[in-house]
Amino acid sequence: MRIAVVGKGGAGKSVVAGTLARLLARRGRKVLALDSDPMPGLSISLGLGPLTTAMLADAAEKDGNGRWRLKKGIGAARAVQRHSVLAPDGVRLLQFGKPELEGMAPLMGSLNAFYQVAHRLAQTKVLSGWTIAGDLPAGPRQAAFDWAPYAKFFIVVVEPTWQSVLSARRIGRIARAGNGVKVLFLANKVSGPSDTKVMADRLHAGLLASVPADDAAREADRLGMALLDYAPSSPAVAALETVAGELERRSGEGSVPGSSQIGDR
Amino acid sequence: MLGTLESGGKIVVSDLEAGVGTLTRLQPGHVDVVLVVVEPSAKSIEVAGRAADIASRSARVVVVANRVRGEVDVETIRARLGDRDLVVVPEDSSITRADRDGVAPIDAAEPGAGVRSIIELGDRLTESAARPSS
Repeated sequence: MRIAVVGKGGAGKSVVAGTLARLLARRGRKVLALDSDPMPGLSISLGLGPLTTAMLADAAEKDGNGRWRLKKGIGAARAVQRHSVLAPDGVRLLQFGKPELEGMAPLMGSLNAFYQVAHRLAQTKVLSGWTIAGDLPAGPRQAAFDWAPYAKFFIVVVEPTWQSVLSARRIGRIARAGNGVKVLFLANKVSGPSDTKVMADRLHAGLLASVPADDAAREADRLGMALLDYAPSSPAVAALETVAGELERRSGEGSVPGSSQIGDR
Repeated sequence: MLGTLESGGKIVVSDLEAGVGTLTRLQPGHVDVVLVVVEPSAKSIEVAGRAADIASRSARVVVVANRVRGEVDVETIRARLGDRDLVVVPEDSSITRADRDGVAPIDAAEPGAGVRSIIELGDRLTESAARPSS
């Protein structure tokens, strides 16, 4: 199963991506979480706190034309094996890094190596059984520039605001242009059934799920904690647990025998 | 573009994209004030701290603490950004409703405390812009 999580800023992409990654790992899957957002998010939602590391800096080199590329001899599998970090529940996290005061320039090696890794993942045999959960930045740009060619599902996270819905529709249109990609809309921070209905009407599409507005999720955000660690029994986690099962069903992969569910931890 | 606009007697309000990308390209004189909008979440505060540091190299910075529900939220933001000029915009159901309905919050039938705070901020900024610089 390979998914990319997209949406407008503040919709809750990182919380959805990080929580789903850990829930799927708890269901017995090997999970790689990919963070291609230059803004902080996924490492916090996974429970690692803020990480700025340019993880693929040592895996990048310049070619004869001065362009960054993955070092010769390093493929996607080796990049993941050597340069990803371990997150809770056994999830591996790979990110290209977060800009400091100097901007993006110091990250360009890691960024280009990351892009190449993302493009090789789907063809890498040793990773073929892995679940991949990508957290993309706000807006449609990375979907348009093919930053998640590995993804079979694009989960568009939508808040109950017009701006969020309009962004989601645009991102959905762009993502659908990908080969065999399924676009699924996930309503987040939903206050009730009327929100859900209004969003489905405005999106002109059915919803994968509705994740309720949840004070526990807000408090986890304030504290910089993973939702799963702060409020494992919250309504938002329960809704995302259902999403994890639904994604398994839609991908045709089913649950992993003998896997532990959220209540086992 | 911001650097080439004539500003005499006019006010330009520019809504920049999320993150710090545009800010890193801002030069002194392009804008007078950068409003760094921050929510009481660790991720938002992390970005806002970086944005304020970058923006302060080229403009006056005002931090706008948005969707604040109480003193705990304010203290969480102050812990990283407390030395900055800070304006608090309370959580406001009239803004939530306006966002949902696709209308401008300032046109809401009954503007709440959040809208009023933004109006006060606007007044404050226009007053300071009208004052001759020393």
